[in-house]
Amino acid sequence: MIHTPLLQIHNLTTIYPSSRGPVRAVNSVSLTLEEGRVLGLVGESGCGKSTVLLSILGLIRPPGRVAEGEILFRGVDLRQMSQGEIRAIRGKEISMIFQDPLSTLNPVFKVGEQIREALRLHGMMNSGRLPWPFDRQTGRRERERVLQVMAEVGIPSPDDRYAAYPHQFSGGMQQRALIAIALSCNPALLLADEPTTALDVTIQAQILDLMRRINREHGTAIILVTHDLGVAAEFCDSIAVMYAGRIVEKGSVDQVVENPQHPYTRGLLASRPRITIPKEPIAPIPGSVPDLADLPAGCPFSPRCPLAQGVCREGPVPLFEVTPGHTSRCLAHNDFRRDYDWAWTDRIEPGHITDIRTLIE
Amino acid sequence: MSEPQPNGVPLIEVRGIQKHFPIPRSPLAKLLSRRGDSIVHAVNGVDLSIWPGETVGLVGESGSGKTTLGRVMANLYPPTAGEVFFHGEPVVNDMATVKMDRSGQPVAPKQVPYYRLTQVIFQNPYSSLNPRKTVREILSTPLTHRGIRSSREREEMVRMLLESVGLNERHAGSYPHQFSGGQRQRISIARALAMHPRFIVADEPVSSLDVSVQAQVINLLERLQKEFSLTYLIIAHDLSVIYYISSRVAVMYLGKIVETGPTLDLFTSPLHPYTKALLAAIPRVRKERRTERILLRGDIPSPLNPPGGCPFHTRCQVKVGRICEQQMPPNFQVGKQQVACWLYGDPH
Repeated sequence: MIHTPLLQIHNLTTIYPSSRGPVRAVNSVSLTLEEGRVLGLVGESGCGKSTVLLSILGLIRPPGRVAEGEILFRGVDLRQMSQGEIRAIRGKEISMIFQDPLSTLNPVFKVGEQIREALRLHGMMNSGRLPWPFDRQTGRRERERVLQVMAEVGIPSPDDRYAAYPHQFSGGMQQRALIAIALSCNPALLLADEPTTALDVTIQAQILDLMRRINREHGTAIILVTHDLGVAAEFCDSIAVMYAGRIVEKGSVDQVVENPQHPYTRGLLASRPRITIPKEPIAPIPGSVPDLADLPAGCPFSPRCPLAQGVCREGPVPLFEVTPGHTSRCLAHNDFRRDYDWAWTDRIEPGHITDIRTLIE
Repeated sequence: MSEPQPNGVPLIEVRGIQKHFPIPRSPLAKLLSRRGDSIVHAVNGVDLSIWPGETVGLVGESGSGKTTLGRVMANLYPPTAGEVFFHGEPVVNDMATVKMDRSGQPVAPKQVPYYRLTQVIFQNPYSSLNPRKTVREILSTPLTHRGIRSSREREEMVRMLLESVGLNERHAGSYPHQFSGGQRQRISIARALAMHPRFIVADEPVSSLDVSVQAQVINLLERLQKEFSLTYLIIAHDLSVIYYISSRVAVMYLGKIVETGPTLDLFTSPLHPYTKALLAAIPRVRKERRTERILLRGDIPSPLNPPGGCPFHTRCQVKVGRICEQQMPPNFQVGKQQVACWLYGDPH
């Protein structure tokens, strides 16, 4: 039997029309996620990382659309499914937690009921004897499961908190409630869109700890979208760095963080203040994030890249495999020049560009 | 990054600052609950001194009162109790007494409006710049208030201000929406500089910016500090930003400052259990730098009803005993740090 990964994305392209022509929010993104693994999708605002998650779940709001690509979940293409089929998967097999818990939870429903809704919609606790409103047993079991999930995500005294409304919860507790909704059906894949960005650092540590426990105990695979390389490095098995809709570097955490290859990844690491003794100066990336509707030809990072040469501005840049499993989309990996000026990022690591092994695209 | 030694007369000093915000209730609600308005104890008795040339970093979680304290220090909020001192003299009727020039030489005391000495950079450059004014107008207004009457002189100064924050003359006629977030924050910085202040309160100056742009603004703030001999209070929740930019750090929790000290000492040997937990919670990129997580249980208590005694006792894992719940610890001097925790007190 051929091994099928849990999730396989090939050449996903998502387009939003705009007055200035179509915007490729996600541009030929390919990803693979194995059962029970944690992948970090890292990038700045507007790089398309959240759009990848929405595309997976078929939640791209028209006139935006997934223009190309395959999204294989357990070998089945989610894009070929009907609305009904995908609805049966969404929230059950694949569920999502969003960045801002207060705007995601419905303010007029009790938190416990909102967790229960997911169970009910997917008929998780149905005894199958009578339809839902008449089946007392189902209701009881649903409530038990809700309390169990609430306890599991660390909401204290779930019995009392079941009937509370979202505004009565603190930010951290709201995020736990969202996680409880996402977990209620025991999904195989959890998509987390900046789940800790709105939270304080101590609460962030609690939530990451909780997600790690869920990953270990239930084997739930997780895609974590974040702009914080620190969070990604601590939490994930592998990291994909996105810039202007494309994945520019991908590899295991050790590969990407300890030996960054793409100038953008290096720039991100160098521009992040670090707590080291003595203090190390930070080297900002010049310029700002490009406008997706008005991307430069060739490598989108070239206007900000200290290595950019004429070739970089000509055509699309292929992905190079630097070491097995570690890819980077930069022409500097090609033989076209050797005298790279890495001085600006040398402070990170005595990293040097490894010779190209294979050109894989 | 320079570390001026705190000595001499502080530039700004606050003593016993309290800032309470009443939440009005309807008369009916008061009658039913038999209580008055509830009160948010945003800042609850804070002493802090900032010496000329220093960069003091103020950290704390949301709801700890750090923004309120910054605004009291900038005279945007009148404190409920306590006093603000400039060059050792109290600020009365928004007037401060200037006794030293920028290089620290004594001069004849002079009364100066406080806003001329202190400016604020706000967190969100999208909402803190007037969308209907051009950059030229935004920057000219403080210049007029400084008493620069000649429009040609103002024009020249606008150009210099824009250049000093890395923009140029071309930008003067544009409106805020035509700029990116990083550029807008530069305009906010230029606006603060236009008053030629001595002290700048920067409230989360980089947290709304993209990671790659944050470093540009941090470096800019550092350069301007040297160029214009500024003193900073930087409020941030991002500890790595604080570590990078501050010479001294104050940690705030629920309206109180629980620990202060030189940045390096505080980060290498944190004393207060809250500081320890805060530092341990920072996600680290490099494996070897990761420390044992100290997971704090629960959330920061509500400032509506802060716990008695040490504000941290509800989450503290190393409580000394009953005294933590009953009495607010005073500041104990340990090395160069000051810590408000009974662990470092007299063991009686």
